[in-house]
Amino acid sequence: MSSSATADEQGGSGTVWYRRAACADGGELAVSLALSDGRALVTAVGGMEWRCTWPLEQALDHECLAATSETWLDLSGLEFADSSLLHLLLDSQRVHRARDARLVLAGALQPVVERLFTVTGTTAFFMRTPL
Amino acid sequence: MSELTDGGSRLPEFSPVDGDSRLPESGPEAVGVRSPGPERRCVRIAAPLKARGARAEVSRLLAGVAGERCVNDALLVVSELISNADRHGGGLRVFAAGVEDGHLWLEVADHSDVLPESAAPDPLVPGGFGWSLVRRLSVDTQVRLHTNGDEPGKTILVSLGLE
Repeated sequence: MSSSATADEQGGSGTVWYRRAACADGGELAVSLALSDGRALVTAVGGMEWRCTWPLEQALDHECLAATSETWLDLSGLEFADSSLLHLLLDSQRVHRARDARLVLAGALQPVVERLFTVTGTTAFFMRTPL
Repeated sequence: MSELTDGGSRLPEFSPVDGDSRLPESGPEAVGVRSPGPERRCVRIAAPLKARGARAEVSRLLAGVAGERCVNDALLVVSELISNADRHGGGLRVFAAGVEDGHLWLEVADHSDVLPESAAPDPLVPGGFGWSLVRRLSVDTQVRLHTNGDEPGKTILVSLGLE
């Protein structure tokens, strides 16, 4: 690891983790994790379906989150998500709460993803904040 | 066996005259799209087909005949149906869809005779969001078990209103 990567991991801003999954159907999900001001920022871009959730699962399980009290999850780059996203988020929210941390959806959601939350009645389950 | 036949009888009649069309208004942009010609408003695809491909077909079917929210609802429903077929239904057998009488109809056939079920209302219980979503967004859902033939299977038929 280069010294700059080490500096990032010591709490400065910058990406500390990144994974990109090529899904079996030709889609792709890329997830990055950054740390800034004691907060974890997880950013997901692409499409999410039941076979292709692991990059986001791993990001939300990353050990770096344990040192933070708040995770901002930016899903504005998700062009589609199915109900597997909801299960993943609910699980992660439970884990966050167990260590007295908050999971917050940061930024806007694309209409089809916002609609997923709305029609399943899960909009109110998650804290939201603008980016 | 469900009627997964050619879509001839399900094709709506397209007329250049907008006024009394059976399809609901979805905006001024729809008028220009409804041109006479061999528009395909029905599709039938045998496996393999992934959810992404099914969503593309539904988008194409609904182009110009449904508003954005309706299209998004249809994408959510078809994705859950295809994923369920793969995940719980022993794999997709056939996907069919069409637009008729102001509705989008979807048919997803798989290789399992296990019926879909919704989760308990408790969101902490995993599983079941998908089928609940399908039920909530559709105006009609049917499940037909395949009783002829050697292999188990079922067809889920869903109808969504177009707005």
